[in-house]
Parts: sequence; C-alpha cells; structure tokens
Amino acid sequence: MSSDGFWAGQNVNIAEVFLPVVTAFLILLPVLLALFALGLLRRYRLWRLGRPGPPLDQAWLRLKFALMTALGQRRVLREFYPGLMHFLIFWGSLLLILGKITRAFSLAVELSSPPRSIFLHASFISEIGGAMVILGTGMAVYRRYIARPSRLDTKPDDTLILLWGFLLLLSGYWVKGYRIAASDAVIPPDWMAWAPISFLFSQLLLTFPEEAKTELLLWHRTMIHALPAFLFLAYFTLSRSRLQHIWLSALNVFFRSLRAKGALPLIHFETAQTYGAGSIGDFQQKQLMDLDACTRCGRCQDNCPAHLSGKTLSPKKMIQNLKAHMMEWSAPLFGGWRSLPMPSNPAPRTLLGEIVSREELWDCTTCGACEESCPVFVEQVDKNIEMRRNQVLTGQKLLDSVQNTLRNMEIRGNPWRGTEFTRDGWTKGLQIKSLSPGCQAEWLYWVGCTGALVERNIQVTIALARVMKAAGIDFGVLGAAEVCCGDPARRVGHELQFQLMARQNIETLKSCGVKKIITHCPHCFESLKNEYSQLDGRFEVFHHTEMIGRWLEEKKLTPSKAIDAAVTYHDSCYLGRYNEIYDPPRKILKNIPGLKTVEMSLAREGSFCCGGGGGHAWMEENVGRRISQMRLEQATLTHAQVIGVACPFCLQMFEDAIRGMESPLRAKDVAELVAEAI
Amino acid sequence: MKNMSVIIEVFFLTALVACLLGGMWLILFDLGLNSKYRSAVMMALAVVGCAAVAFFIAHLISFYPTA
Repeated sequence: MSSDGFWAGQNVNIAEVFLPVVTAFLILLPVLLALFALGLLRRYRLWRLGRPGPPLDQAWLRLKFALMTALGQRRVLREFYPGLMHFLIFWGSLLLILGKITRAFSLAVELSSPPRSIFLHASFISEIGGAMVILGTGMAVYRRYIARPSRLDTKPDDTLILLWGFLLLLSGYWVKGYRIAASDAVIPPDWMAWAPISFLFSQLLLTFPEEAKTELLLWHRTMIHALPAFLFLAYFTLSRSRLQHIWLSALNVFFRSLRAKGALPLIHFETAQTYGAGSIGDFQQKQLMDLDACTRCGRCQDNCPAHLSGKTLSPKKMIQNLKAHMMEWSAPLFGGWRSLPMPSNPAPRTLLGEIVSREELWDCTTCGACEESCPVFVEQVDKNIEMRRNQVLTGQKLLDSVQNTLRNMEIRGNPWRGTEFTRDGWTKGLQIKSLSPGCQAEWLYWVGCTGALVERNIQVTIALARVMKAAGIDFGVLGAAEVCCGDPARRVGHELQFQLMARQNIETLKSCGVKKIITHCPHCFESLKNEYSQLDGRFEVFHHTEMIGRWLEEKKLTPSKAIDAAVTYHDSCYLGRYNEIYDPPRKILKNIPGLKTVEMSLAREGSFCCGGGGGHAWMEENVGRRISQMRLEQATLTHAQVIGVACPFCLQMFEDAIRGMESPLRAKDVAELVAEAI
Repeated sequence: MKNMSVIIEVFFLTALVACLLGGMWLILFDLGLNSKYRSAVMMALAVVGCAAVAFFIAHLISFYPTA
C-alpha cells in the first residue's frame, strides 16, 4: 500500500500541533521520571523497615522468569475471563505505548528516518492496542460492576483508573479523528488502513470548515488528550494506586523466593533477634513488598479450601489487612518525608489478635493453593508460619489441639497420642532389615509416624514393603530409631522442636550410612528432601510413586491381576504443588490392568486440599464444612469407586470423611493398588 | 448538530475533569495529607471542577464551529 496519501497534508498538522505536544512531553519526561523515582523511593523506604532477607542470587534467572511471567501472562491466563481481560489490557497497553514511543522518537529524528513505513505501522499498532485495551476495560467493567464476583472489592481508585483510562483512549481516537479530518479537503483512502478506528471518528467531523478543524484539533490535542494523559502518567508514577502493580508485580516476581517450594526458612536461634513475626516490622523486606504487590485480584481466596469451606480465613483479606496495617504503621514516614527511626515507632495496633485473628491464623492448611494461584507470586504461607512461630515460640496461648500435638512430639517423638502401635511393630513376619551403623542397605524406607502408628496407614506401609520386596529392592527401616521428621512441629510454628527432631534424624541417618531414602509420606518427603538440607542433611529422597513408576518401567514390577474399578487420583498438596510430582502416580494407575482412571475437576496444580496439612490432621474442624468431605464430594462426582491417594494424611482424612458421609467410595493408597495387582 | 456536539463534548470533558480531580484527591491523602482536611479539599476541588466545566461550556459555545 502506498503511504503517500497518508502523508498528504500532514506536514502542517505535524509542525503546528503534533511536534509541539511531543516536544513538551519530552521536556516534561524527566519530571515523570523524577516522580517515578520518588514513588519508588517511598516504597523502598517502607520495605526497608522489614528485616533483611537472604542476599539476592541468580539475578539472570530471576530476570528471565519475571519477564516470562509478565510478558507471557502465565498465571493470569489460567482463568479464562479474567485472564483474557488482563491479557487484552496488558498487551493492548504495550502495543499502544510502543506505537506512541516509535512515533514520538521518529519525529525527533525527522520524518523520513526511520522510514515512514515504521511510522505508519506504529500508527496501526497504536490503534489496535487501544482497541484491545478498550475491549479489556469493557470486560473489566462488566465483571466489576455487573457480574461482581465475591472475590472482588471495589475502591474509588479502581473506578477512577478504569474511567480515566477509557476516556484517554477515547480522546486519543477522537483527536486523531480530528487530525484526519483536518488533513486535507479530501481524505486519502489509506487512512482507513493505517488508522481504522480514528478514521471512523473522522467521518463524523467532515462537515467542519478548514479553520475550525485546525482550531479544534489544537484545542483537543492539548486539552482533552495530551494533558490528561500526562497527568495520568504522573498519577501512575507517584501514587500508591493499583496501577503501580504494573511494575510492582514484575519486581515481586523478580525477588520471589527461589527456595524449594514449601520449604520454610530456617530460624538461626543463636543470632535471631525475634522469633517469627509478632509485629509488622518483624516481617522480612520481601514479605513487606509482597503486601504492596498484592493487587486484590482474589484468586487466592477463590482457591483457598479454608475460605471455601466457610472458615474465617481469606488469604486476600489477610494480606490486605496486613497491608493496611503496614501503611498505618509507616504513616509518619510518608507524611513528613523525613527519615524517622521507624523501628522505635510502635505499631498502633497489635498484629496478632487485632490485625490477624487467631482463627484466621490457624485455619490455614498450608496447602499452597493461594500461592499457586497468585499471579504475582505473593508468598502467603511463609507469613502465616512466621506469625504462628511467634505465637508458639514466645509462649502465647495456643489452641488446645495444637498444644497437645506439640506436647506429644516433645514427649513421644510423634504427634499421635494414645496409639497402641510401635515404630517397628508392622515389620513382624516381613523380614525387613533394621538399619544400624553395622547393618546397612541400599535404600532406607522412611516410614513416618502415620505410616507406623495409625492402623489404616500401617496397611499402606506393609503394602509398600511388599511391593519393594517384589521389585527386589535392598531396603531397611530405622524402626525405633526413627523419630518424627518434624513437619507437624514446623507447620504449627514450633521451629525449635523441628530443628531438634531434624538434627536427631540427620545424625541417625548419617550414622547408618543412608544415602537413598524412599518414603510414602509427602510431608516427610518435603522435610527430608527440601528442608533437612538447611541443617546439612543431604540425601537422595524419593517418593514411593516416583520409584514404583520407575520399577514398573524397568519391569522390576509387573502388575498382572486386574482390578475392576474406576479410580480418581487426589493430588496431595505437598507432593503435587510443592514438589510437582503429578504424573508418576497417574502412570502407575494406568499400568494396573482393568483399572480405569478418571480425573476430578480440581486436579494437579489446582487440586483441592484434603484438609490435613499444616497440623490440621490433629486439629478440630468446628467452623464451616469439613474440607475432606468437600473433596470427597468432588471425587463422588466422577462416579469412581476408589479415591486414590499418595499421602497418609490424605488417606486418614478421607477415611474419616467416608465414615462421616457414609460414602460408598473407598480410599486407597497407590501402593495398595499396586500390591493388589502384582 | 452543534448543540449535540457541544453536549457530548461537555459530558466527556466533565468526566475527564472529574478523573483529574479525583486523582488529585487520592494522591493528596496518599502523600500523607491529614484526613482532617478532607472536607476542605473536597470543597476546593469541587469549585475548581465547576469552574473548569463552566469554562468548557463557555468556550465550546463560543468557538465550536457550525457545520
């Protein structure tokens, strides 16, 4: 297409209108940048009030991941409507800005350099980008003001941004329409190709005489588009509005924790000045940034099993309350622009009790669904645990069930009170090695407290031992030398108890020459694999589903007996979300003859918790619905006869739910199904 | 045609002015202005907004071309 027509008559407009506006913008650009720096400084000073975190590492990896997350809209697109809406606004804005910048700078270096075609394409890109943003904004308006999902709350800032942005886009098309109308007595037809939407606007304005068009053009260009656009940018750069998520989100993703998923940070008791978070200033700097980065999208709330089952906890509300508290606490810093000695500034309200209630704090099952769904990687579970740590380690009153669990762990080395079973009772008659410094094996089978001490789970333990024997694996157990891995203690906040147990276990494991560990408990798996390394306990740790899958591939196991049933597999949070082990258990089930597999609607990353994590296997669930029963209902909808699990807590929770609901479903561990089939 | 155009533009400009002043309102308190000044600031911004809209109406009526 020829571009000559496009340029016909443009020189006057460009010289008299466009160029002065662009020049003014470029002159004022440093002001915008200064405002942005000021806005950033305000945030930075706020975050610096927190405790320092670990030093920044792997900057390139972080940068790559942040860019991929932002540009690819990875997590946002997991939900169709809000994902598409955000995608249109994000990429539309990017195209719009790209087109604007190209045109602005092409003017500064004369119209023909870069070539005109770039200018023309920039115009087209801006038009399309603007249309995408308008479409996305329309979707946002429908969702926020008409559909009104419960997870959204609307503040004046939200309405302002939507309206302001929409008017700016509209005025952009309008002004360009004037420019087209004023370009010449006859509008060249290729305007339609390079500026299709503005061209339509221009059609409304063709009846004006030449002088009027020029006068209006100037008036509109400066008064209804350029000036509000500049002030919009100033608002974006300076205020702590929702708009700042544009850069805060990317920054938060960049600084996200690169620890293994679910692994909690270690407290160094020798040097720690505070234990956990008892006040807002006790959080780490990145955790304060998290609060700032939360965009109130509510995805966490929509995926939180505690919230969905009617408990007090809403992750979004908790983060927003913490953020409001942070702002309240830091108000002197923001009001006076002076460096105040903030740590000495006492928070106006207490964190635990007034900002975060006891119920909220203990409702969390640490399933990680909130973190998995958060588009900006806000780390929620760490904050909950930090607050629990403070409650536990400073001797505050705890829930009776938590107190009892911790007491059991201290006295008996396991969280199960009143069990009649012993650590090695299940091995009788099975001829299983008991490992010691003088008796070693290639593999250690880490049984875990639930696998050894809870009757229903002992069946799983025996089944797995039989499977390993059938596969010809050289393995042994620690028996009475094994103490709890410490996961329940750590998840309820008793870091000291965790470290004591972990160190004892590490010492035992090292003394027995253990290199490779297999366990069927994802909670033990998480601790042994991802957390013991913090205390210098490094072992090769595998979940039983990984190894059974491998043995099946290697033909060490051959399931021959058919199981005539349909099974729906439930992803354990600690195995799936935290360790991304989704396929091995599914592959195992597919290998069993006769067994049909069906998926629940919430599976893999989006799986729904059984309600047993975070110490909840030992807590009463008195408020709202039982999470395990909700999950069982989801399993029932698949018409499967068996709910397959790969976690002793899940099995325990579902057994209780099946009894409570008198459900015909049976809960079975993957190892049990394999043992039946070989 | 002219009346209709003027009405549309005034409506548009009013919304835009409301956004600008709303943004100013939010940013002032975000920057730490004491909330005891809320009503005074609201009054001042309302006066500015009304003046701006009155100016737009006058300007458009005077200068908007006739088709």
